Amino acid sequence: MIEVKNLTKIFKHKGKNIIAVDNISFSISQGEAVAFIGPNGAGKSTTIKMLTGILFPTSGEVSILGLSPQDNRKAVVSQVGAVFGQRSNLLPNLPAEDTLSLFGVMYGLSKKEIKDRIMYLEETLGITSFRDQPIRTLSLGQRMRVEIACALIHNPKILFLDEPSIGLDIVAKQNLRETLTRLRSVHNMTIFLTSHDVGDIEAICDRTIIVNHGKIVVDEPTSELYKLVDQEKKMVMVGPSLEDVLVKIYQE
Amino acid sequence: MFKGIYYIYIVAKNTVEQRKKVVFQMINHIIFLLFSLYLYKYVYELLPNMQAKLPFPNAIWSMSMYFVVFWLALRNIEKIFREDIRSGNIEMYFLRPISYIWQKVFIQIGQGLIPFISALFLSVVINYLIVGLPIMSMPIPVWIISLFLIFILSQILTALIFILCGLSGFWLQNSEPIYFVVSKLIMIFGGAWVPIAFFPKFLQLFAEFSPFGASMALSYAMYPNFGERFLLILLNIIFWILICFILVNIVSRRANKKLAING
Repeated sequence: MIEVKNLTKIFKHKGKNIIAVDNISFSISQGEAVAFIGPNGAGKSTTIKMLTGILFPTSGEVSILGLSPQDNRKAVVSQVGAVFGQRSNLLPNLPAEDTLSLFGVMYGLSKKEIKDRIMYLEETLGITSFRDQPIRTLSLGQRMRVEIACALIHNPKILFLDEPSIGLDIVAKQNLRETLTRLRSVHNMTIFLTSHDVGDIEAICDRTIIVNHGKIVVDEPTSELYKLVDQEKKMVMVGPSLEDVLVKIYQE
Repeated sequence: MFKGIYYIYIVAKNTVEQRKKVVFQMINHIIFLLFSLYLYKYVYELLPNMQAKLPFPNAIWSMSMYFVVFWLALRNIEKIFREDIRSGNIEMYFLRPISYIWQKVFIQIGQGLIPFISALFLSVVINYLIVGLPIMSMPIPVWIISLFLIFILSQILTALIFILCGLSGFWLQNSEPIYFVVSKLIMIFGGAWVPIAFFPKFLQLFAEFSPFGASMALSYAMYPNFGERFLLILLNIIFWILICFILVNIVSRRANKKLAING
Protein backbone atom coordinates (compact mmCIF):
# COMPACT_ATOMS: atom_id res chain seq x y z
CA MET A 1 0.00 0.00 0.00
CA ILE A 2 2.81 2.45 0.94
CA GLU A 3 6.27 1.62 -0.38
CA VAL A 4 9.27 3.81 0.30
CA LYS A 5 12.69 2.93 -1.16
CA ASN A 6 15.89 4.83 -0.43
CA LEU A 7 14.03 8.08 0.00
CA THR A 8 16.22 11.15 0.40
CA LYS A 9 15.37 14.83 0.59
CA ILE A 10 18.05 17.49 0.61
CA PHE A 11 17.18 21.16 1.04
CA LYS A 12 19.60 23.83 -0.06
CA HIS A 13 19.98 26.76 2.28
CA LYS A 14 22.51 29.54 1.70
CA GLY A 15 24.66 27.26 -0.43
CA LYS A 16 24.66 24.46 2.15
CA ASN A 17 22.99 21.07 1.73
CA ILE A 18 20.66 20.14 4.58
CA ILE A 19 19.73 16.45 4.59
CA ALA A 20 16.18 16.30 5.93
CA VAL A 21 15.52 12.67 4.99
CA ASP A 22 18.45 10.31 4.52
CA ASN A 23 17.96 7.19 2.44
CA ILE A 24 15.01 5.67 4.30
CA SER A 25 13.03 2.60 3.24
CA PHE A 26 9.91 0.99 4.67
CA SER A 27 6.59 -0.45 3.58
CA ILE A 28 3.14 -0.32 5.13
CA SER A 29 0.35 -2.73 4.30
CA GLN A 30 -3.39 -2.13 4.18
CA GLY A 31 -5.09 -1.62 7.54
CA GLU A 32 -1.86 -0.94 9.43
CA ALA A 33 -1.67 2.04 11.77
CA VAL A 34 1.89 3.30 11.86
CA ALA A 35 3.35 6.03 14.02
CA PHE A 36 6.18 7.87 12.32
CA ILE A 37 7.85 9.76 15.10
CA GLY A 38 11.05 11.43 16.18
CA PRO A 39 12.42 14.58 17.74
CA ASN A 40 11.90 18.02 16.19
CA GLY A 41 13.71 18.33 12.88
CA ALA A 42 14.05 14.56 12.48
CA GLY A 43 12.45 14.56 9.03
CA LYS A 44 8.93 13.35 9.89
CA SER A 45 6.96 16.11 8.24
CA THR A 46 9.25 16.20 5.21
CA THR A 47 8.63 12.46 4.74
CA ILE A 48 4.84 12.82 5.07
CA LYS A 49 4.96 15.64 2.51
CA MET A 50 6.84 13.45 0.07
CA LEU A 51 4.38 10.61 0.67
CA THR A 52 1.48 12.91 -0.14
CA GLY A 53 3.15 14.37 -3.24
CA ILE A 54 3.59 17.88 -1.84
CA LEU A 55 7.38 17.71 -1.95
CA PHE A 56 9.56 16.10 -4.59
CA PRO A 57 12.24 13.69 -3.29
CA THR A 58 15.86 14.43 -4.12
CA SER A 59 16.29 10.71 -4.77
CA GLY A 60 14.54 7.44 -4.03
CA GLU A 61 11.04 6.23 -4.70
CA VAL A 62 7.63 6.60 -3.12
CA SER A 63 4.69 4.48 -4.14
CA ILE A 64 1.19 5.03 -2.76
CA LEU A 65 -1.29 2.36 -3.88
CA GLY A 66 1.13 1.54 -6.69
CA LEU A 67 1.37 5.14 -7.91
CA SER A 68 4.00 7.83 -7.57
CA PRO A 69 2.33 10.72 -5.70
CA GLN A 70 4.50 13.24 -7.54
CA ASP A 71 3.66 11.95 -11.03
CA ASN A 72 0.02 11.04 -10.33
CA ARG A 73 -0.95 13.70 -7.83
CA LYS A 74 -4.68 13.78 -8.62
CA ALA A 75 -5.06 10.00 -8.63
CA VAL A 76 -3.20 9.68 -5.33
CA VAL A 77 -4.96 12.51 -3.47
CA SER A 78 -8.29 10.99 -4.52
CA GLN A 79 -7.32 7.86 -2.55
CA VAL A 80 -5.80 9.48 0.51
CA GLY A 81 -7.01 11.84 3.21
CA ALA A 82 -4.80 14.10 5.28
CA VAL A 83 -5.18 16.06 8.47
CA PHE A 84 -2.43 18.50 9.39
CA GLY A 85 -3.03 19.60 12.97
CA GLN A 86 -1.47 23.01 12.47
CA ARG A 87 -3.38 23.86 9.32
CA SER A 88 -7.06 24.23 8.58
CA ASN A 89 -9.26 23.40 5.62
CA LEU A 90 -12.36 25.02 7.07
CA LEU A 91 -14.26 28.14 6.02
CA PRO A 92 -14.67 30.13 9.25
CA ASN A 93 -18.01 31.80 8.60
CA LEU A 94 -19.91 28.75 7.40
CA PRO A 95 -21.19 25.61 9.12
CA ALA A 96 -19.31 22.32 8.71
CA GLU A 97 -21.72 21.06 6.07
CA ASP A 98 -20.68 23.71 3.54
CA THR A 99 -16.98 22.84 3.73
CA LEU A 100 -17.83 19.14 3.61
CA SER A 101 -20.01 19.69 0.51
CA LEU A 102 -17.20 21.64 -1.15
CA PHE A 103 -14.79 18.79 -0.51
CA GLY A 104 -17.34 16.28 -1.80
CA VAL A 105 -17.70 18.27 -5.02
CA MET A 106 -13.92 18.62 -5.38
CA TYR A 107 -13.54 14.85 -5.11
CA GLY A 108 -16.21 14.39 -7.77
CA LEU A 109 -18.89 12.77 -5.59
CA SER A 110 -22.51 12.92 -6.73
CA LYS A 111 -25.07 15.02 -4.85
CA LYS A 112 -26.55 11.92 -3.21
CA GLU A 113 -23.14 10.52 -2.29
CA ILE A 114 -22.21 13.83 -0.67
CA LYS A 115 -25.46 13.93 1.31
CA ASP A 116 -25.09 10.32 2.52
CA ARG A 117 -21.43 10.70 3.32
CA ILE A 118 -21.95 13.94 5.29
CA MET A 119 -24.75 12.30 7.28
CA TYR A 120 -22.57 9.28 8.04
CA LEU A 121 -19.54 11.35 9.06
CA GLU A 122 -21.60 13.75 11.16
CA GLU A 123 -22.99 10.81 13.11
CA THR A 124 -19.72 8.86 13.33
CA LEU A 125 -17.61 11.85 14.36
CA GLY A 126 -20.25 13.41 16.65
CA ILE A 127 -20.68 16.56 14.59
CA THR A 128 -24.50 16.48 14.48
CA SER A 129 -24.96 18.56 17.66
CA PHE A 130 -23.03 21.54 16.23
CA ARG A 131 -23.56 21.01 12.51
CA ASP A 132 -25.37 24.35 12.01
CA GLN A 133 -22.87 26.50 13.88
CA PRO A 134 -20.28 28.54 11.94
CA ILE A 135 -16.81 27.01 12.28
CA ARG A 136 -15.43 30.11 14.02
CA THR A 137 -17.73 29.46 17.00
CA LEU A 138 -16.54 25.86 17.53
CA SER A 139 -13.97 24.63 20.04
CA LEU A 140 -10.62 23.26 18.83
CA GLY A 141 -11.77 19.69 19.46
CA GLN A 142 -14.97 20.22 17.46
CA ARG A 143 -13.00 21.81 14.62
CA MET A 144 -10.62 18.87 14.53
CA ARG A 145 -13.56 16.50 14.13
CA VAL A 146 -14.73 18.55 11.14
CA GLU A 147 -11.18 18.52 9.72
CA ILE A 148 -11.18 14.72 9.95
CA ALA A 149 -14.60 14.59 8.30
CA CYS A 150 -13.18 16.67 5.40
CA ALA A 151 -10.28 14.24 5.07
CA LEU A 152 -12.68 11.28 5.02
CA ILE A 153 -15.44 12.66 2.79
CA HIS A 154 -14.22 10.64 -0.22
CA ASN A 155 -13.70 7.46 1.81
CA PRO A 156 -9.92 7.32 1.38
CA LYS A 157 -7.88 4.14 1.75
CA ILE A 158 -5.05 5.90 3.59
CA LEU A 159 -5.26 8.61 6.21
CA PHE A 160 -2.19 10.77 6.88
CA LEU A 161 -2.26 12.53 10.22
CA ASP A 162 0.36 15.13 11.09
CA GLU A 163 0.05 16.04 14.77
CA PRO A 164 -3.74 15.84 14.78
CA SER A 165 -4.14 16.31 18.53
CA ILE A 166 -1.99 19.43 18.82
CA GLY A 167 -3.65 21.97 21.12
CA LEU A 168 -6.51 19.70 22.15
CA ASP A 169 -7.50 19.14 25.77
CA ILE A 170 -7.34 15.62 27.25
CA VAL A 171 -11.03 14.88 26.70
CA ALA A 172 -10.89 16.03 23.07
CA LYS A 173 -7.72 13.98 22.56
CA GLN A 174 -9.40 10.90 23.99
CA ASN A 175 -12.43 11.40 21.72
CA LEU A 176 -10.18 11.84 18.71
CA ARG A 177 -8.20 8.67 19.44
CA GLU A 178 -11.39 6.62 19.95
CA THR A 179 -12.85 7.96 16.73
CA LEU A 180 -9.74 7.18 14.69
CA THR A 181 -9.44 3.68 16.16
CA ARG A 182 -13.12 3.03 15.38
CA LEU A 183 -12.84 4.34 11.83
CA ARG A 184 -9.78 2.23 11.21
CA SER A 185 -11.42 -0.98 12.41
CA VAL A 186 -14.65 -0.32 10.47
CA HIS A 187 -13.03 0.64 7.15
CA ASN A 188 -9.72 -1.24 7.40
CA MET A 189 -8.10 2.11 6.76
CA THR A 190 -4.34 2.56 6.77
CA ILE A 191 -3.23 5.27 9.18
CA PHE A 192 0.11 7.05 8.98
CA LEU A 193 0.53 9.23 12.04
CA THR A 194 3.18 11.70 13.08
CA SER A 195 2.76 13.06 16.57
CA HIS A 196 4.71 14.17 19.59
CA ASP A 197 1.86 12.91 21.76
CA VAL A 198 2.68 9.49 23.10
CA GLY A 199 -0.95 8.91 23.98
CA ASP A 200 -1.89 9.13 20.30
CA ILE A 201 0.73 6.53 19.41
CA GLU A 202 -0.27 4.10 22.15
CA ALA A 203 -3.97 4.41 21.43
CA ILE A 204 -3.94 4.36 17.64
CA CYS A 205 -0.79 2.69 16.28
CA ASP A 206 0.33 -0.90 16.37
CA ARG A 207 3.69 -0.16 14.74
CA THR A 208 6.16 2.63 15.38
CA ILE A 209 8.92 3.94 13.14
CA ILE A 210 11.32 6.30 14.86
CA VAL A 211 13.44 8.66 12.78
CA ASN A 212 16.30 10.86 13.84
CA HIS A 213 18.54 13.06 11.68
CA GLY A 214 16.56 11.81 8.68
CA LYS A 215 17.33 8.12 9.29
CA ILE A 216 15.14 5.32 10.61
CA VAL A 217 16.50 4.23 13.98
CA VAL A 218 13.67 1.94 15.13
CA ASP A 219 10.90 0.10 13.27
CA GLU A 220 9.04 -2.16 15.69
CA PRO A 221 5.55 -3.01 16.90
CA THR A 222 4.57 -0.31 19.41
CA SER A 223 4.22 -2.88 22.19
CA GLU A 224 7.81 -4.04 21.58
CA LEU A 225 9.29 -0.61 22.22
CA TYR A 226 9.34 -1.30 25.97
CA LYS A 227 11.43 -4.42 25.48
CA LEU A 228 13.75 -2.60 23.13
CA VAL A 229 14.82 -0.14 25.76
CA ASP A 230 14.66 -2.52 28.70
CA GLN A 231 16.48 -5.51 27.19
CA GLU A 232 18.27 -4.93 23.88
CA LYS A 233 19.69 -1.55 24.73
CA LYS A 234 20.34 -2.63 28.32
CA MET A 235 19.04 0.66 29.60
CA VAL A 236 17.19 1.19 32.83
CA MET A 237 13.72 2.50 32.32
CA VAL A 238 12.83 5.53 34.38
CA GLY A 239 9.19 4.61 34.53
CA PRO A 240 6.66 2.38 32.89
CA SER A 241 5.26 4.88 30.37
CA LEU A 242 5.88 4.84 26.62
CA GLU A 243 6.93 8.47 26.87
CA ASP A 244 9.87 7.48 29.10
CA VAL A 245 10.78 4.74 26.64
CA LEU A 246 10.74 7.16 23.71
CA VAL A 247 12.85 9.72 25.55
CA LYS A 248 15.43 7.00 26.15
CA ILE A 249 15.36 5.95 22.50
CA TYR A 250 15.68 9.56 21.30
CA GLN A 251 18.60 10.15 23.65
CA GLU A 252 20.23 6.92 22.53
CA MET B 1 -16.44 23.70 -14.64
CA PHE B 2 -19.08 22.80 -12.06
CA LYS B 3 -16.38 22.26 -9.43
CA GLY B 4 -15.06 25.79 -10.06
CA ILE B 5 -18.50 27.40 -9.92
CA TYR B 6 -19.33 25.55 -6.70
CA TYR B 7 -15.97 26.53 -5.19
CA ILE B 8 -16.65 30.20 -6.02
CA TYR B 9 -20.20 29.90 -4.66
CA ILE B 10 -19.05 28.49 -1.29
CA VAL B 11 -16.29 31.08 -0.88
CA ALA B 12 -18.71 33.87 -1.84
CA LYS B 13 -21.18 32.49 0.72
CA ASN B 14 -18.42 32.63 3.33
CA THR B 15 -17.77 36.28 2.35
CA VAL B 16 -21.47 37.23 2.48
CA GLU B 17 -21.46 36.19 6.13
CA GLN B 18 -19.20 39.22 6.69
CA ARG B 19 -22.04 41.57 5.74
CA LYS B 20 -20.73 44.52 7.72
CA LYS B 21 -17.42 44.37 5.86
CA VAL B 22 -19.18 44.39 2.47
CA VAL B 23 -21.42 47.31 3.54
CA PHE B 24 -18.38 49.27 4.69
CA GLN B 25 -16.58 48.54 1.41
CA MET B 26 -19.56 49.86 -0.55
CA ILE B 27 -19.83 53.05 1.53
CA ASN B 28 -16.15 53.47 0.75
CA HIS B 29 -16.83 52.96 -2.95
CA ILE B 30 -19.67 55.51 -3.06
CA ILE B 31 -17.61 58.15 -1.26
CA PHE B 32 -14.68 57.56 -3.59
CA LEU B 33 -16.91 57.66 -6.65
CA LEU B 34 -18.58 60.92 -5.65
CA PHE B 35 -15.29 62.51 -4.68
CA SER B 36 -13.67 61.56 -8.00
CA LEU B 37 -16.72 62.82 -9.85
CA TYR B 38 -16.42 66.18 -8.13
CA LEU B 39 -12.69 66.38 -8.93
CA TYR B 40 -13.17 65.43 -12.60
CA LYS B 41 -15.95 68.00 -12.92
CA TYR B 42 -13.65 70.67 -11.48
CA VAL B 43 -10.79 69.76 -13.83
CA TYR B 44 -13.09 69.66 -16.89
CA GLU B 45 -14.44 73.13 -16.00
CA LEU B 46 -10.88 74.35 -15.60
CA LEU B 47 -9.70 72.84 -18.88
CA PRO B 48 -12.73 72.75 -21.23
CA ASN B 49 -10.68 71.55 -24.22
CA MET B 50 -10.33 68.15 -22.48
CA GLN B 51 -13.88 67.42 -23.74
CA ALA B 52 -12.47 67.04 -27.25
CA LYS B 53 -10.05 64.31 -26.15
CA LEU B 54 -12.42 62.47 -23.85
CA PRO B 55 -16.02 63.58 -23.16
CA PHE B 56 -16.79 64.09 -19.48
CA PRO B 57 -19.35 61.22 -19.13
CA ASN B 58 -16.88 58.77 -20.72
CA ALA B 59 -14.12 59.89 -18.36
CA ILE B 60 -16.41 59.29 -15.38
CA TRP B 61 -17.52 55.85 -16.62
CA SER B 62 -13.91 54.93 -17.41
CA MET B 63 -12.69 55.92 -13.96
CA SER B 64 -15.56 54.18 -12.18
CA MET B 65 -15.09 50.93 -14.16
CA TYR B 66 -11.47 50.87 -13.06
CA PHE B 67 -12.59 50.98 -9.45
CA VAL B 68 -15.38 48.44 -9.99
CA VAL B 69 -12.78 45.96 -11.26
CA PHE B 70 -10.63 46.93 -8.28
CA TRP B 71 -13.17 45.19 -5.98
CA LEU B 72 -12.82 41.88 -7.77
CA ALA B 73 -9.21 42.16 -6.60
CA LEU B 74 -7.64 39.46 -8.75
CA ARG B 75 -4.33 41.17 -7.98
CA ASN B 76 -4.69 39.61 -4.51
CA ILE B 77 -3.87 36.22 -6.03
CA GLU B 78 -0.21 37.19 -5.66
CA LYS B 79 -0.79 38.10 -2.01
CA ILE B 80 -2.45 34.80 -1.16
CA PHE B 81 0.33 32.89 -2.95
CA ARG B 82 2.85 34.84 -0.87
CA GLU B 83 1.02 34.19 2.39
CA ASP B 84 0.57 30.49 1.58
CA ILE B 85 4.27 30.08 0.83
CA ARG B 86 5.28 32.00 3.97
CA SER B 87 2.89 30.16 6.31
CA GLY B 88 3.23 26.73 4.69
CA ASN B 89 -0.57 26.58 4.20
CA ILE B 90 0.14 25.86 0.56
CA GLU B 91 0.41 22.17 1.46
CA MET B 92 -3.30 22.02 2.32
CA TYR B 93 -4.19 23.02 -1.22
CA PHE B 94 -1.74 20.58 -2.79
CA LEU B 95 -3.64 17.76 -1.08
CA ARG B 96 -6.83 18.48 -2.98
CA PRO B 97 -7.73 17.10 -6.40
CA ILE B 98 -7.84 20.55 -8.02
CA SER B 99 -4.65 22.39 -8.96
CA TYR B 100 -3.34 24.93 -6.46
CA ILE B 101 -3.49 27.78 -8.98
CA TRP B 102 -7.10 27.11 -9.92
CA GLN B 103 -8.11 26.96 -6.26
CA LYS B 104 -6.52 30.34 -5.60
CA VAL B 105 -8.31 31.84 -8.62
CA PHE B 106 -11.66 30.40 -7.42
CA ILE B 107 -11.05 31.66 -3.88
CA GLN B 108 -10.20 35.17 -5.04
CA ILE B 109 -13.19 35.35 -7.39
CA GLY B 110 -15.40 34.04 -4.57
CA GLN B 111 -14.08 36.66 -2.17
CA GLY B 112 -14.35 39.52 -4.63
CA LEU B 113 -17.61 38.61 -6.34
CA ILE B 114 -20.09 40.19 -3.91
CA PRO B 115 -18.19 43.49 -3.50
CA PHE B 116 -17.67 43.56 -7.29
CA ILE B 117 -21.36 43.04 -8.15
CA SER B 118 -22.40 45.57 -5.49
CA ALA B 119 -19.88 48.14 -6.74
CA LEU B 120 -20.92 47.57 -10.36
CA PHE B 121 -24.59 48.09 -9.52
CA LEU B 122 -23.88 51.22 -7.47
CA SER B 123 -21.57 52.70 -10.11
CA VAL B 124 -24.01 52.14 -12.96
CA VAL B 125 -26.86 53.73 -10.98
CA ILE B 126 -24.81 56.70 -9.71
CA ASN B 127 -23.14 57.36 -13.07
CA TYR B 128 -26.43 57.10 -14.96
CA LEU B 129 -28.20 59.46 -12.56
CA ILE B 130 -25.42 62.04 -12.49
CA VAL B 131 -23.74 62.02 -15.93
CA GLY B 132 -26.01 59.76 -18.00
CA LEU B 133 -24.71 57.10 -20.40
CA PRO B 134 -21.28 57.50 -21.98
CA ILE B 135 -21.05 58.48 -25.63
CA MET B 136 -20.76 55.28 -27.64
CA SER B 137 -20.40 54.31 -31.28
CA MET B 138 -22.41 51.08 -31.18
CA PRO B 139 -25.97 50.05 -30.18
CA ILE B 140 -26.39 49.58 -26.40
CA PRO B 141 -26.93 45.75 -26.46
CA VAL B 142 -23.83 45.24 -28.65
CA TRP B 143 -21.91 47.66 -26.43
CA ILE B 144 -22.86 45.72 -23.28
CA ILE B 145 -21.95 42.33 -24.81
CA SER B 146 -18.64 43.72 -26.10
CA LEU B 147 -17.85 45.20 -22.70
CA PHE B 148 -18.68 41.92 -21.01
CA LEU B 149 -16.33 40.04 -23.34
CA ILE B 150 -13.53 42.56 -22.78
CA PHE B 151 -14.14 42.41 -19.03
CA ILE B 152 -13.91 38.59 -18.88
CA LEU B 153 -10.79 38.39 -21.05
CA SER B 154 -9.02 41.28 -19.32
CA GLN B 155 -9.69 39.64 -15.94
CA ILE B 156 -8.26 36.35 -17.20
CA LEU B 157 -5.17 38.32 -18.21
CA THR B 158 -5.06 40.07 -14.81
CA ALA B 159 -5.27 36.70 -13.04
CA LEU B 160 -2.46 35.27 -15.18
CA ILE B 161 -0.20 38.30 -14.59
CA PHE B 162 -0.63 38.06 -10.82
CA ILE B 163 -0.27 34.26 -10.85
CA LEU B 164 3.12 34.84 -12.48
CA CYS B 165 3.99 37.40 -9.79
CA GLY B 166 2.88 34.94 -7.10
CA LEU B 167 4.85 32.06 -8.60
CA SER B 168 8.02 34.16 -8.43
CA GLY B 169 7.68 33.75 -4.66
CA PHE B 170 8.75 30.10 -4.98
CA TRP B 171 12.23 31.40 -5.87
CA LEU B 172 12.32 34.77 -4.10
CA GLN B 173 10.48 33.70 -0.90
CA ASN B 174 8.84 37.13 -1.07
CA SER B 175 7.26 38.30 -4.30
CA GLU B 176 6.09 41.62 -2.84
CA PRO B 177 8.60 43.83 -4.72
CA ILE B 178 7.52 42.32 -8.05
CA TYR B 179 3.87 42.75 -7.10
CA PHE B 180 4.53 46.38 -6.20
CA VAL B 181 6.07 47.18 -9.59
CA VAL B 182 3.46 45.27 -11.62
CA SER B 183 0.47 46.67 -9.72
CA LYS B 184 1.77 50.23 -10.14
CA LEU B 185 2.33 49.66 -13.88
CA ILE B 186 -1.25 48.42 -14.15
CA MET B 187 -2.50 51.46 -12.24
CA ILE B 188 -0.60 53.86 -14.51
CA PHE B 189 -1.28 52.13 -17.83
CA GLY B 190 -4.80 51.12 -16.82
CA GLY B 191 -5.70 54.76 -16.38
CA ALA B 192 -6.23 54.85 -12.62
CA TRP B 193 -4.32 58.09 -12.12
CA VAL B 194 -4.94 59.84 -15.43
CA PRO B 195 -7.18 58.45 -18.23
CA ILE B 196 -4.88 57.15 -20.95
CA ALA B 197 -6.68 59.41 -23.46
CA PHE B 198 -4.64 62.24 -21.93
CA PHE B 199 -1.31 60.44 -22.35
CA PRO B 200 1.13 61.49 -25.11
CA LYS B 201 0.35 59.45 -28.22
CA PHE B 202 3.31 57.04 -27.96
CA LEU B 203 2.62 56.39 -24.27
CA GLN B 204 -1.08 55.88 -25.02
CA LEU B 205 -0.17 53.21 -27.59
CA PHE B 206 2.21 51.56 -25.14
CA ALA B 207 -0.49 51.59 -22.44
CA GLU B 208 -3.06 50.00 -24.72
CA PHE B 209 -0.79 47.34 -26.17
CA SER B 210 1.21 46.40 -23.09
CA PRO B 211 -0.14 43.56 -20.91
CA PHE B 212 -0.52 46.05 -18.03
CA GLY B 213 -2.90 48.31 -19.90
CA ALA B 214 -4.62 45.37 -21.62
CA SER B 215 -5.49 43.90 -18.22
CA MET B 216 -7.45 47.08 -17.46
CA ALA B 217 -8.98 47.38 -20.93
CA LEU B 218 -12.43 47.86 -19.41
CA SER B 219 -11.46 51.40 -18.40
CA TYR B 220 -10.59 52.51 -21.94
CA ALA B 221 -13.40 50.42 -23.41
CA MET B 222 -15.54 53.28 -22.07
CA TYR B 223 -14.06 55.70 -24.63
CA PRO B 224 -16.28 56.89 -27.51
CA ASN B 225 -14.11 55.14 -30.14
CA PHE B 226 -14.50 51.71 -28.52
CA GLY B 227 -16.65 50.49 -31.40
CA GLU B 228 -13.94 51.09 -33.98
CA ARG B 229 -11.14 49.74 -31.77
CA PHE B 230 -13.00 46.74 -30.31
CA LEU B 231 -11.37 44.09 -32.49
CA LEU B 232 -7.88 45.48 -31.94
CA ILE B 233 -8.38 45.61 -28.16
CA LEU B 234 -9.79 42.06 -28.19
CA LEU B 235 -6.91 40.61 -30.22
CA ASN B 236 -4.36 42.40 -28.06
CA ILE B 237 -5.81 40.89 -24.87
CA ILE B 238 -5.99 37.41 -26.43
CA PHE B 239 -2.36 37.71 -27.50
CA TRP B 240 -1.22 38.55 -23.96
CA ILE B 241 -3.41 35.82 -22.48
CA LEU B 242 -1.68 33.25 -24.69
CA ILE B 243 1.79 34.53 -23.76
CA CYS B 244 1.01 34.61 -20.04
CA PHE B 245 -0.72 31.21 -20.14
CA ILE B 246 2.37 29.59 -21.65
CA LEU B 247 4.59 31.30 -19.09
CA VAL B 248 2.33 30.23 -16.18
CA ASN B 249 2.47 26.62 -17.38
CA ILE B 250 6.26 26.61 -17.65
CA VAL B 251 6.87 28.45 -14.38
CA SER B 252 4.30 26.49 -12.32
CA ARG B 253 5.85 23.14 -13.30
CA ARG B 254 9.23 24.36 -12.07
CA ALA B 255 7.71 26.02 -8.99
CA ASN B 256 6.20 22.72 -7.77
CA LYS B 257 9.68 21.24 -7.61
CA LYS B 258 11.03 24.28 -5.76
CA LEU B 259 8.51 24.01 -2.96
CA ALA B 260 10.04 23.74 0.52
CA ILE B 261 7.87 23.67 3.63
CA ASN B 262 9.14 23.30 7.15
CA GLY B 263 7.38 21.62 10.05
